[in-house]
Amino acid sequence: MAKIIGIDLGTTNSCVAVMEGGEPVVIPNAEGNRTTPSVVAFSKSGERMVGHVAKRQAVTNPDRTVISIKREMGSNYKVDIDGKKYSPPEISAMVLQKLKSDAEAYLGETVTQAVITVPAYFSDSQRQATKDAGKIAGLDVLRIINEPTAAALAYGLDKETDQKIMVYDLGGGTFDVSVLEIGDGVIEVLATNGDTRLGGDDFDNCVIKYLVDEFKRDNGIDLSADKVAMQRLREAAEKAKVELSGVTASSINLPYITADATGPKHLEITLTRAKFNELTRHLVDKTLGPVKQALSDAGLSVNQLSKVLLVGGSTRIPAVQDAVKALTGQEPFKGINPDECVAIGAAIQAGVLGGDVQGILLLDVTPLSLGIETLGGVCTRLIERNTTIPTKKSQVFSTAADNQTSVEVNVLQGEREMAAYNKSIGRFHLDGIAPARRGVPQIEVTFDIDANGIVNVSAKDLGTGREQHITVTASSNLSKEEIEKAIREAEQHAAEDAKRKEEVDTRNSADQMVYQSEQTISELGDKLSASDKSSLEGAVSKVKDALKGNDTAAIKSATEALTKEFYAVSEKIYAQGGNAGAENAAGATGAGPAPGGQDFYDADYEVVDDDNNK
Amino acid sequence: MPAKKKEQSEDNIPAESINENTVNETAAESPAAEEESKAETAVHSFEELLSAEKDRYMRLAAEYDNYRKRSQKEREALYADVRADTIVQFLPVFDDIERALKAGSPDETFKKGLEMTMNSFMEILAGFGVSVIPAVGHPFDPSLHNAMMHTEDESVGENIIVEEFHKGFLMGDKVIRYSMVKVAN
Repeated sequence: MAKIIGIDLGTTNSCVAVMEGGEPVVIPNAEGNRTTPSVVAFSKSGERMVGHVAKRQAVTNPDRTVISIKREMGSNYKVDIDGKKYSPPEISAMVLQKLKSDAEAYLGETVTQAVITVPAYFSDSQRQATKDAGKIAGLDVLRIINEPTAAALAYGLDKETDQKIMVYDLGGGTFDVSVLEIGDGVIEVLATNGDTRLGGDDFDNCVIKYLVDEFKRDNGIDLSADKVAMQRLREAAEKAKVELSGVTASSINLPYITADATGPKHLEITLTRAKFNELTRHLVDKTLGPVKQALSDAGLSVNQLSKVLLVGGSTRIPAVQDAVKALTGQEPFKGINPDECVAIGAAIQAGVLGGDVQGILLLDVTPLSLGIETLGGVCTRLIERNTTIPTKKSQVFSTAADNQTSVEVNVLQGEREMAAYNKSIGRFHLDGIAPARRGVPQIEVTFDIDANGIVNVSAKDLGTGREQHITVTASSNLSKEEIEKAIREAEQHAAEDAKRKEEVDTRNSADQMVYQSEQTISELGDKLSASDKSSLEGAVSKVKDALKGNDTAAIKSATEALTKEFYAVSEKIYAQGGNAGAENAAGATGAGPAPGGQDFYDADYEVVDDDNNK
Repeated sequence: MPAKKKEQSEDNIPAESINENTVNETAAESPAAEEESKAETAVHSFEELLSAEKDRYMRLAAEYDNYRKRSQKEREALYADVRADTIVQFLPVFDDIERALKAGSPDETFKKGLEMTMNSFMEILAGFGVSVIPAVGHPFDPSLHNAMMHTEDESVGENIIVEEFHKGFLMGDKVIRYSMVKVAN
């Protein structure tokens, strides 16, 4: 069944989002941008353009380019393009059509239904016009919701206790403030106010004016007459404004901004946040009147507000946030991208209408990693913590000693590298393993966690088909504090754990190398020259000696030396190998596939001790 | 309703008696029939539940599949996208060197040094597959150029670019920065 999209059809920019896997996701347009300019244009040949491409040619084609059509929705205004008349819904439909097809491209399926947002103050005819626009675009508009309401949905406020909130929306070209009452899952608009001609561009203009004035003072040149210079200034001003939301000073450098008789001139001005605030204070102050008025119309005092939500890119400006905080006494909510939160709220509403949201949410995860104990007391993880459940993972293990006929599976939960420091949540044996050389039997261990967190661990001897398993309830063992403690301790001990694991791994490798070498010596000794045989034996005994002690470095170097010897000897054997026969082949298999031997074991097998307690 | 009732009683008394019989029959069957209809209802509700679950599962499977395909595409494009984004950040430096060259200098050695710097930069860009978008003298194309200004000029044709404020660049066939231009007519 098709997805329902949520659309923020804005005056200057539009945004579309959809629920995916229970989470709202903003859909990028075909060019890769997360918002699309609400601009429509017709080329001289009648070709239609929507979005960024329309914006880029607006200056060359003003008579055929339409911007801010939202301001005319619900009226009888008609746009005349080359003699053909278009109503505002028809123009808006073109924007919606682009959003629709971009959404279809992203989702890989057709989209026929949508939820579209409108300002809270929109009249019935304005809302109907928006619905009509959707219909023209091929979208069945299931619901029209208010922009501040969508913001409240985005923050999940409809699920909380009854409260009164304010939504402060300072966007591209308009300022809107709304007071909402939330109760019993219903969101009601108590009052709205605003300024239809106040937005981010006005903040840019203040900075531009400052730069022009400073430059005039320093150089005696008025840049406002130079269109090219002004374009650079505009870009630099916007960039500085954005930077100042993060840092307290921004340096604006525009080399070769202009030239006069004395030569080229450069603009180099540092703008501090304090200065920026000073330059734009009057704009911020302009928003406070409507805020007070909205509260008064709603019959509320400032203390009756539980929350204030910030919507619109310009609310990123620290001075704006500070002013809101000062006026309302609240730390405003700004966690969700202010350019996108209305579309996100629309998507959430769309999800509810489509029955999506209730479906896949709240999948559980395993709080801590699960694994088994392997040779050397190491914990080998099969399932990482925070893996979403239900899940199933298998890995093949083997025996640690020759003729080992049973393996003990010690099920561990925790983040430490060494088994002893993790919690054992279950233990069982699988016996009846056919006697064989160590590393030969294949024991498949499977962890199967169901949706309720019940863990089924099974061990199956792939040779005999024998199987044993236990059932454990892993997650109920630990409280939240215990989980956090386990993770913290693992981080604190990470270094020493890693070291210990390395020690164990080194010992295991050394052991394995000794075993392989001794196999080769005993089975193929006659193929070796006396000197080769004794040098190999010498290397083996060096490793054995090192293994008696605890010097990891010594074990490692002795093992490396042995490995070198072993490879050299193996090569010689293979060189002779052509003459041999079945006997040799059998011998070679017994010794394990030569050069890759070590890696083969490490990659595919971890050896499971018969009795790990020893 | 009253009319109907009248009809019934007026009609066939045999019908009534038949009805009665049927009623009796049904009454006699009642417990068994009830059991059966209970079972039927149970089966029916399970069938509904099953088809609802099936539908949810299929939706989830489809969503996962689309997500997987899309993630794959995004991953493949990622490397190129990140490179393009990084290069765009350096282009203002290119612009300033260009402006410096345009401003000129009486010092020939300095000028030469600057030219060589520019050439070096261009070579590096070329190494990334970045090329300059042709602008001045060419027809305006909003998919390549960003028109900042418009003018009337009889000496050139319709929709021709007459001035460039900063260069536009392609990486392969993807625009990484649009040329900023002035268009005539």
